[in-house]
Amino acid sequence: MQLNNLTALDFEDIKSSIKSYLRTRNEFSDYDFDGSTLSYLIDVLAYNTYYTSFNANMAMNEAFITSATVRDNIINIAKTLNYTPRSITASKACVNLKVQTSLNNGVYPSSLTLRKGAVATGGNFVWNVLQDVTVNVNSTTGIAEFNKLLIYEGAIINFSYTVNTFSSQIYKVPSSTADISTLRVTVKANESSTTSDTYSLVETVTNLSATERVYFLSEGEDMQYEVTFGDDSLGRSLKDGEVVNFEYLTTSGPEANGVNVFSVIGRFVDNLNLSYNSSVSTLTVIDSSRLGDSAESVESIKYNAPRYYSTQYRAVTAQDYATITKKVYPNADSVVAYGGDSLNPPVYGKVYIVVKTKTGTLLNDITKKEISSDLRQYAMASIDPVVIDPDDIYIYNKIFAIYDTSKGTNTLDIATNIQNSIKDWATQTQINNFNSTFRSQELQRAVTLSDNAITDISVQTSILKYIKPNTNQTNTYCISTGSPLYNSSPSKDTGDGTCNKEPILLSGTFRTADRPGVDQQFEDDGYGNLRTFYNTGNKKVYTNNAAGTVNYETGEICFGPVNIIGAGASVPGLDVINVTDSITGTGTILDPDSLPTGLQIPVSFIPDNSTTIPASTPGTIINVITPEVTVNPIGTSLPSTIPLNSLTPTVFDQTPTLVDIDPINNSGSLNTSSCF
Amino acid sequence: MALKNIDGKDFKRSRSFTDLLISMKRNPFTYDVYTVKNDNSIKQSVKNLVLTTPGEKPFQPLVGSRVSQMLFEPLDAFTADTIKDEIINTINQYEPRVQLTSVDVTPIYEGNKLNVTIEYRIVGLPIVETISFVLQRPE
Repeated sequence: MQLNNLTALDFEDIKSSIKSYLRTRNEFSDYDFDGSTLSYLIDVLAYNTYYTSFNANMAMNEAFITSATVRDNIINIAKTLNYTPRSITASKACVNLKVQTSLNNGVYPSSLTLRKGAVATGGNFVWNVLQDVTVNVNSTTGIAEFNKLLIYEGAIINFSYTVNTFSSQIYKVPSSTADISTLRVTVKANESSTTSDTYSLVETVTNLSATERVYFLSEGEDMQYEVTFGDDSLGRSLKDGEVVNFEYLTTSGPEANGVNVFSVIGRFVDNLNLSYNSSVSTLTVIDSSRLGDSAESVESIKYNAPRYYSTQYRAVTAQDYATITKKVYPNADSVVAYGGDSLNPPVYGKVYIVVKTKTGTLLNDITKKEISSDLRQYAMASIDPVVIDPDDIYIYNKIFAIYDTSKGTNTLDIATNIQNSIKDWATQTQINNFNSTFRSQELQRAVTLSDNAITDISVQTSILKYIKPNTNQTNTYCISTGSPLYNSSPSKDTGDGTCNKEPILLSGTFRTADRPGVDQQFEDDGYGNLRTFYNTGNKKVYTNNAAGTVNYETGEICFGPVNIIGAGASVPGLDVINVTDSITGTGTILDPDSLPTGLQIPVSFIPDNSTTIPASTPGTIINVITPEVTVNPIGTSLPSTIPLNSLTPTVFDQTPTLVDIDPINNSGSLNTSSCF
Repeated sequence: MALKNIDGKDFKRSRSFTDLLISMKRNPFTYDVYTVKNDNSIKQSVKNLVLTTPGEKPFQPLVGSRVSQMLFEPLDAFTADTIKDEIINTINQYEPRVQLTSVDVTPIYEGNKLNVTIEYRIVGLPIVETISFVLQRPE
């Protein structure tokens, strides 16, 4: 027998295949005629083959989530991926409800409670509150106001099971229209018990103890959700005779969206147990009903289930660490994570997580360890998550604007407009964050457009970084701007054939252990060395011409070895030090334990390229300091764009104020409602 | 000019029809199912077609005649005439081996039956065959 078409799944194809076989034989010949008995027999054979092959094909298709078509089968596969599909969602409306209470013995009740259950009717639907809501009554007017009250469309259903451990019991939410997000699971000790325990939903067994009152949720057959309880190993199991109660909302979903007329049917009880009916209440609609949605479609489940599975509860890629860090540490404003192998030199087996907090402060060591250990349970076995502080680079701009005096405006207004435009620019570019780049052109354009009286602007840009020395320890401190530094031209002849260069970096004031009585600063000599000096009032006195090194190509400076005991305003008191020479500041430390700690020395640099300053590492945050704005009338000459000899690091002894960027709260949808 | 000899074997095979017996009875000698041949096979096919209800053959909803439904119509000359037309149409459409010469449907009012006599000529053979059967509602 020659099978000419093995993959034929169509009835006619199978039939013609049998006929072509019979054509090769001479026992029978009537197969071509519809009335022949043989034709009937062939029909039965083809029918049988057709159904067998269809079943085989269907069964295989239904075994894989990509090819399955029957919802129950897709749900079953999604269940093994720990994916619970979204149920139908009740429509919600936001209303303001005012109830006029009545006097009792001359006083109004102190509080009024709106009972759980139906509150209003509207659009052929019933609207409910899911919990009792209690508000205070205004003692003068007697009005109780339920403001921004969320009412849910549907009907509250209570369904109970009595636990019987002798048979296998499935705890189903017996409705396909239940909004599962409203499900409340309580367990009573027995039928007559008046108290009950509330069980909470968990999605993962991580950190679950044997006694925790939790339940797991999955979608079962016919879109009815199944509740599974623990086994006394992961979560508490149910005991014989206990009564499980499900309270949930059955809803019409999206059909109830858009309702904006409601009439009150709720029950109100005051603290004196007096009831009020709906006639003493007034309802104002704040937001018409919305957010009702049908259950997740099979296409959506097929799309989402594998994707959730591939990311959930595991930290594999660097992005996973950043996502999970935000979950375990909600105060993180922004998180960047990168593998240690991307560093120079590479550090294998470590993932670095850089956290920028919402408050802007650095994390303390305890919090870092906590985050690290929280991440540990998600991380792969050999990977060590290390939480580090962000590398802050501050960019300080001085903006000089020339304005046309004939435009009828004043310098104050222009300065305000410039500051506002800088705030807008910062918001749009999200500058004070990871992975950002400072682009001077964008800033200048924003400033130029901020006021039509501005004719010209000029920007001086300098970079600020902090050295954070350890008090009374001899160390070398290295910091890097990540980009080349400006290399100034020789200017003054010293008379011995060498030329002086203008310094392009300057530090704030600090005190060293050998000269505790005088504020010193350091600058560069233009040839790759740092030198420290103090100011007598009319001249600089250099104290060390080899106090460190500068690399103009990489922007790295190393200051030290040096023993710092004070910086800026944090200087040791006269009782802590003994100054032997008040001019040179030499002396000794009397009480090392009383020296100030938490020191920071600001260092200002002139960058080689001030138009584009990128983040040097993934953990670098570019911070823009609120700029200094100078507005002058037309005709004034603009200063140089390179602030040689005009660096002012001492004003940044304290961490400067940054350009304020409003947080983006509405990430995602454009929902401007006050209620949702 | 050489001509291929048309022998008796070739001639016979061209009009030979072999089919299974509809009752699927076993031949007691060969222990195999009975076969019907040639004119008998055509006769069986015609009868099969008339007694098949449309939809009975899987995936071929048009094959068959609607006489079994019509048996539930009032037994009169009109119904008999409709049944006759139905039989003619069915045989003309699905049995290309025969050419109908006459179809006679006679109501038997006692017992609510119809007597059907189909007379046909087998295409290519000068043989006229007749089938007679009684159509009756299932008791």
